Amino acid sequence: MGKRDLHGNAASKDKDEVESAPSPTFEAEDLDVSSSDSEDELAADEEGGESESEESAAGLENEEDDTDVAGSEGLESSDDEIDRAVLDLVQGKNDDESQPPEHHPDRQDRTADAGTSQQAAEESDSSDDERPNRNTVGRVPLEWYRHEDHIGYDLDANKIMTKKKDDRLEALLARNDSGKALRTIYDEYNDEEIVLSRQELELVQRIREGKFPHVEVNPYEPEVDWFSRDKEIHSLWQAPEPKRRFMPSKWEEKKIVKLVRALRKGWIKTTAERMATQQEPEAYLLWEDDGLISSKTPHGLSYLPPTKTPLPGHAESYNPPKEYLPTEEERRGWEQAEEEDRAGPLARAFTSLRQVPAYDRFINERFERCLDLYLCPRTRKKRAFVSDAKSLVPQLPKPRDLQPFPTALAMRYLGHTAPVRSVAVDASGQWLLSGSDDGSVRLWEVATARCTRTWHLAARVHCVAWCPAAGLRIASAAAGNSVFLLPAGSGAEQEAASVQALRPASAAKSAGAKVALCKWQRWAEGDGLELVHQHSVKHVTWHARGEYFASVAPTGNTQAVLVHQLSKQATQNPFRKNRGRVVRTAFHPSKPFFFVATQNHVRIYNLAKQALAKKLLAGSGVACLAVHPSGDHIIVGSEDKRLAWFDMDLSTKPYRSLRYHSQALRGVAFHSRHPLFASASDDGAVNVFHGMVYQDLLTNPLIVPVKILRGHDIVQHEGVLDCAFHPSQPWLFTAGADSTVCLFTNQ
Amino acid sequence: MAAEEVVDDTQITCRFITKLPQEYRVPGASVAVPSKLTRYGLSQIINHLLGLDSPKPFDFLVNGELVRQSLEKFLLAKSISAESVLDIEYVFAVEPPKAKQQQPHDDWVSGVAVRADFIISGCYDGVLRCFQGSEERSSTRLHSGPIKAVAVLPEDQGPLVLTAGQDHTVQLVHVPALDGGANSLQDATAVAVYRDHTDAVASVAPSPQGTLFVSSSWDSTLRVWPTGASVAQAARDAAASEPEAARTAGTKRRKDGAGEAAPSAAQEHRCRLELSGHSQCASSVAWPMADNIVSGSWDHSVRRWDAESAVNVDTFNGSKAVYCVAAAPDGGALVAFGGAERALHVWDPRTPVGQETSQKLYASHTDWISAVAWHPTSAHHVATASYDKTVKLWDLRTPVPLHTLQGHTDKVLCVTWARNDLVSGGADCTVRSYSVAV
Repeated sequence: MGKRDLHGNAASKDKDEVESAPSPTFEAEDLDVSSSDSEDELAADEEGGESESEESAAGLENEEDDTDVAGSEGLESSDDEIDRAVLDLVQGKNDDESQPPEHHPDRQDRTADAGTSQQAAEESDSSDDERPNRNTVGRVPLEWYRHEDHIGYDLDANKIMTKKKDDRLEALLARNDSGKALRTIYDEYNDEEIVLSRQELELVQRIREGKFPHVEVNPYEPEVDWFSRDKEIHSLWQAPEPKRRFMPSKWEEKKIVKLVRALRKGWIKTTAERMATQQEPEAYLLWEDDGLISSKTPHGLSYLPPTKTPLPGHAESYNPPKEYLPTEEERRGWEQAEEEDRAGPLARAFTSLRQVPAYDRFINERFERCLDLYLCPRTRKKRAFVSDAKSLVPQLPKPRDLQPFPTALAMRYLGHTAPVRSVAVDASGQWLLSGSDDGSVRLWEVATARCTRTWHLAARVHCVAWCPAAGLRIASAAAGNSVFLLPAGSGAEQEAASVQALRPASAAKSAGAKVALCKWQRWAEGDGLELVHQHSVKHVTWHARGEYFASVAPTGNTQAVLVHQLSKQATQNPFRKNRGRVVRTAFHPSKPFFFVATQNHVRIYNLAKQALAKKLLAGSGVACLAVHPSGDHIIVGSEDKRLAWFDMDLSTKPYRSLRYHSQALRGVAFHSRHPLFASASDDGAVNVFHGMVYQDLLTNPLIVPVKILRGHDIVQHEGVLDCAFHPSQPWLFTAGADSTVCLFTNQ
Repeated sequence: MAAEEVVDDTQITCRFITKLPQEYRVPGASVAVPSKLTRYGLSQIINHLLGLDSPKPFDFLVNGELVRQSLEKFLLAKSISAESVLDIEYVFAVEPPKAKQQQPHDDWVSGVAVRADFIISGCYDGVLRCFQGSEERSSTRLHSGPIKAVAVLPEDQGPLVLTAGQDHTVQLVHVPALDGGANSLQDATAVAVYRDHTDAVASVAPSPQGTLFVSSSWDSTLRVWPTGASVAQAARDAAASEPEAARTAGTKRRKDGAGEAAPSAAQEHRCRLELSGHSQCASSVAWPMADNIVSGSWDHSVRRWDAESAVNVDTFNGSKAVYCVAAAPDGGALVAFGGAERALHVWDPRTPVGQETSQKLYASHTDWISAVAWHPTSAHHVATASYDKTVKLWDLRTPVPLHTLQGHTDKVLCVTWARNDLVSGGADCTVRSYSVAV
């Protein structure tokens, strides 16, 4: 569009130039350039014309002025000044702002023709014309200088001294003498007299008459309608329209393809899209990530934001309101308080900020700040963010929902005179066997705590166990180097059968063994058998059917574990050597497996295959072992205060490790019917757990600690030495170092 | 103060009724009594109304419950309206038992029985003793192990006593001392030995007629055996012909085993009926009526059996092992039992199990209850022995025990009623008797 106008202008203005154009078919760009050139030239011509006329006029005036001044007053020194003042007046430049109009009524006139004079100033390039005022006081009213000897300062900061005023008579005479008196005005600001030229006067006169100040301005010039008067019917441009005017632009197409592609790819967005996405104003928190650790230094140290100090309150003001000022009592309290306990600085009032003294704690605080920086921890402790702490606690049922389990001490079995090492309950639940350091094995009636029988063995009894064979009632005890098998039947038939089973076999048979692992012999002090081992026997355990039993002599090295057969009265050594000190053994209740607990491991041997089936890592210092009635789980108590539950189907590591005791464990036991197990420890407590084993193999056992039972005193760092469950009732028997046996029952 | 006085003055209109003999009846007119009155105050009123020479204590029943608080509190607790006329029944109060005598023994006393003024006790040393007053009439070692229970047959069956032993046997013992007269100096002899149990016998109870008895054992069975005068007579006949029989052929008799202690003349018997249903030790048994046997077990159940058909009629399943049962006399259906807990249970088999009314608890003991004995004539009075060294006397119409008998210095293991006496034995090796008028 612009092109067209320009063409039009150019065509109408410089017709001859257009006509002289070499070829009618040249490009549009060329045309533009030529036309603009011609325009510039035109403008330059016009300006040149005007400035010449101005200059000529000014030169004329100056000549006149010169002659006048020289002729009338002879004040040569002021020639230049007058000249310049007139110029200023004519130009009407910078005084409009700097001079108050009330002191310069004549200025009004001068500003009136600013239009023309300014034009002249722009036209003349000389900087001399724009000389500033002599006086630099600006808008300071001159009356303030009324009593001074000067009226202001010039650019060099020298005082402009007040001219000595002629007295009135002389002034009158001077006016009468001078022909210019009527057209002389006084510039108070610069303390000068200015003689107006004839032209200026004419100018003033024109303004007064309400005419344009400049003579040559004709507001009513005839209008020449260069552009729109005649409606052309032919093109001003003869050349035919180029073909490309009618072709779609290749470049535009490329551009459009680019844009479409960008739009499709989402690089740019339409306004509608932008409006849709920008629903919210793009405001953001300026200090949002001040508290966050977003940036890390290259050294791996993270930025530690300083703690935010609270904003100062009214009390910290230098002149706080009265109610913030401390009373005398508060002040004393503040002074007596420890520095850490003080709530804040003591409020003080000063009448002005100037009187506030230097901050007296500056050094202290700077020192503390340095100390803080020096002692600041360089590592960041990442605290796990837990919204709901209860979710971390496993969902365990409440103990009261898991009843029955033993909760209270019901009875004590009194009679032993030394720590009781071991207890065992017979299969019917009627009889309790206990072995003690006093060398006795006692048989108790469970329900009444009546000791019905006592066997005095020669040595300390380490372990007692019942033979589980049906029809027989045989007690076994490990004491000294021997295992004793004692008939404990109550009825005639039972007694007879037990005694019969414990008749010593023929001497020839026992002598037939090449290496006497142990000697089966009749117990010298009563009915029963004595199996004399070569080493001190600490433990005896029976197979579920009551035919085989195993004895453990930890110091026996290769003969540590011996398996005995009751009916044949034979002994065999199943292991040629034992790795480590054997502590306990146990038979699997139904399968041909044999558990051997050494100090750090529990080895499980398959007796049918005669091979090691599994080796469990039981920690250090295994002290006791119990096999779940299903045979698939075992618990191992160790001297490192741990109770480890092993699931035989799972790994060799404990399924659950329970640390509830503060001392070494001494005994563990499973209940044969209820899902209960217990651990006895030297800390005098017995812990009872609910240990539910599910039939389906997918569910893991549920282990819930349900009760801590205390009933035994600690004697010489020994607490509870053994525990055993009643076969049918949820009752627990515990053997204590205080030489009692306790019965805990449910309530 | 004024308000309190008003409250103090609250009166309850009541009518005293009784089933006591005519001389203890008061006029049927309703009387206004202060609501603050307790049993003692009410008893004073009755005494005053009757004008008795020597005051007699009375107990008072409202709606079948003994008043043990002030009337006001009692009515509030039972939510009985005080507006209408209150019927208060009065009965003779049970006076505090007086310790009568104490009989030392050699060993723990696990069973006592009483006939007339004889006290028969069985001990852990297997010895059966018979006392008259404080005099020991006989002492015989019968069992090789402890005697766990003693029961005496009705008088018409002769001087016969049943003893249950831990040696798996029950013995029928002829105790001549019970007869008095000329034979009283003879030793007691076992006339029959019952051996079928395969584990210790825990308890024994004769039938009301005395011709049968039931025994319960640790082998979890109950067995019913013939007993009584006919068995004793047969044994005596056999003893007379014993030398020949022994000589002629091998008998079913077994001489070994407990033979040393048991007299060789003892006749052996097979059990007539076996009641099996308990899964663990049948600890206690009672035979209150001819066709009704009640047993308690360590498997937490109390069972009622039909003695004729050996069918388990009712079962009550508790949560603790049961040590002792007792049945109400004279055809009462209630069963009292105690065990490895502190409360005495009373079970009413007539209401379906699970209903609240089917059992009641009487809690006051501080340890297990080892024995319970129902009064032979009164359906309301029960005595319990406990490991807390006390014997308690209960009226089942109030949850508070009537009296607590202290005296034993160790566990009390057995208790039984005589006509006006209460006899208990325990682990302090004594038998103590108290006179109680119920």
